[in-house]
Amino acid sequence: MVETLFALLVVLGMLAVGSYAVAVIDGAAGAVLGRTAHSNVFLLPIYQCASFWLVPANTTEAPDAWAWRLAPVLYLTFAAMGLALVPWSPSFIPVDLTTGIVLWGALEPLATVAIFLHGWSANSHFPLLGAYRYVSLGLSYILVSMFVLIGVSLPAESLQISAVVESQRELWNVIRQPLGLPLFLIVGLGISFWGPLNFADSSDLAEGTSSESSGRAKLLWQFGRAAMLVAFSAIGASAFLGGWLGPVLPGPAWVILKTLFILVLLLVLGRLLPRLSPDRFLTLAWVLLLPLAFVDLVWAGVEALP
Amino acid sequence: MMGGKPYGRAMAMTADDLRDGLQLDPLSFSVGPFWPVLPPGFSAHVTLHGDVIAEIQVTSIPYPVALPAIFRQALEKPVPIAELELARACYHLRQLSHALWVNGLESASLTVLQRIHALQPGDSLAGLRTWLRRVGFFFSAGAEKGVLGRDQAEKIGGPAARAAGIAQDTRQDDPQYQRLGFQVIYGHGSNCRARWQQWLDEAEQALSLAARAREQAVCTSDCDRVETPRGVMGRGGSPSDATFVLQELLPGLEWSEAIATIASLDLAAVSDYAEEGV
Repeated sequence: MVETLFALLVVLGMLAVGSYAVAVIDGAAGAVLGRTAHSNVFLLPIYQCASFWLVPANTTEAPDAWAWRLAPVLYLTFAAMGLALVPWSPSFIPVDLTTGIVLWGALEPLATVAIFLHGWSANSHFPLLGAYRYVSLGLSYILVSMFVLIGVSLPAESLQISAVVESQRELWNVIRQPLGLPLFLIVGLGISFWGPLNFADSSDLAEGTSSESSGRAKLLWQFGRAAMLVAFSAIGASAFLGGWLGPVLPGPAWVILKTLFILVLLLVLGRLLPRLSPDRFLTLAWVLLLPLAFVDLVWAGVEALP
Repeated sequence: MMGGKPYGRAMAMTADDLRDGLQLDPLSFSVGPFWPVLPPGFSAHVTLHGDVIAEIQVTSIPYPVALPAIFRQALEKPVPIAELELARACYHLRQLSHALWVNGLESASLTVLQRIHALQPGDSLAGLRTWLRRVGFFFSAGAEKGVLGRDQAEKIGGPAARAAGIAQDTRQDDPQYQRLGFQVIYGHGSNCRARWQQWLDEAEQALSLAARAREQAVCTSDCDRVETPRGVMGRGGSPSDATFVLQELLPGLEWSEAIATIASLDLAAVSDYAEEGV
């Protein structure tokens, strides 16, 4: 009972601290790259939260109110479920499923449902277009993610995330399967629609699925996106960077450091790269990324042969 | 039942698609006039098939744009070329920063805006150009789209026409500009990428002309016409609105490409009033 409560607290704490870290790192990256003079990147996310909290909620004409409220909650829940799968040390894993990789794989398509629901339920054209865009592109991210994750579970001979971490004791997957992490990072930007792959909530659609949201509903949606990015980075750190494995420092410290490393990488990439046209990315995903994911899988298979 | 306008909103009804003849749901709505992505005052009625523009009807043209006062002064008396060219470089870079923002490069867009405030004659834009090339801006959404025909390019005039390979610039007729070694820069392709590059090239040229003009204290000599960043302005008239070009240009483009195309064109008429405070 105590262990379950502790695990719950860790996941909730990770949601809050992780999302705050995303806002701080993104603000710092923006300040460095865009030379903006924010007074304090550590306080800015709190001001922004407060302003979202106090702004009155907007509504549209005849939205599907229940679905509109539910979508951000669902998205955040999926992010929390993802975070719960992250092993912190051999002895502390909030949810240690033997099919952890499969559950993460299921969360990605389910997130598509939440994103579509968010766009569709507002009953307005820009959110709907953002939702359509995500659905048309989602499959191309999810397939790449699946193949890459099957790749990491091959040397572990298990779909359990802790087993995947343990299998990297001699060599991390980022070296053993060099294509895996870069592909996984692209998927991460796609699933949380960040930076160059922000097609669903992009500026050319006046923020797409969230263009009609405001106030607390929008805060929750942004929170969900940041949390999904954290969950993604933590899973990536476990699957490719050896999770808790590392000298001197205790396991959880390594998990945090590695997760932060992937987060910084994703957020800086998000700030640096321009948005492609969805059409072009779709071609890129199917013609280049998916075959590369196959190559990664074959590589992993050959490498895993006894 | 499908179609109709429940709650005043158009509901989808199938119609032939532009691309492959499949039946798709068209979606009709209005955009503008107060959406920062579009020029201020511009509004249009759009019909989309999926995310492809099937039809666009301009319902309101953008408000005329006020140029820095120096361009109008150049029609009254000789003005220092250094000042004129610096204003031109700032104007082009402001356009470029908007295009960067629209294509998701918010940080780069802010950087360019900040450069504008501290811009000096002789400044180099080589660093900015290299940066934009490295991050892939010239391959971002819409780069190869929005190709203007020769007639359309001539109608819009200015950098958009020169990006389409039309080597027309009234500065080449001014002996003072000739003294400074001015040569018309023109591009190829006439697409968004060509126009982005044209802005950058012309801004860089304007800065180097400004540096040389400041050293030699050169003023303009032609007071009948002036090449503004928006096109030729004479005593008789200013560049007029060319927004209706979009009605021919945008159908068939994917939404983000269409938005990038609008951001790559400067279509508003030039106002009779100068920009205040500049």
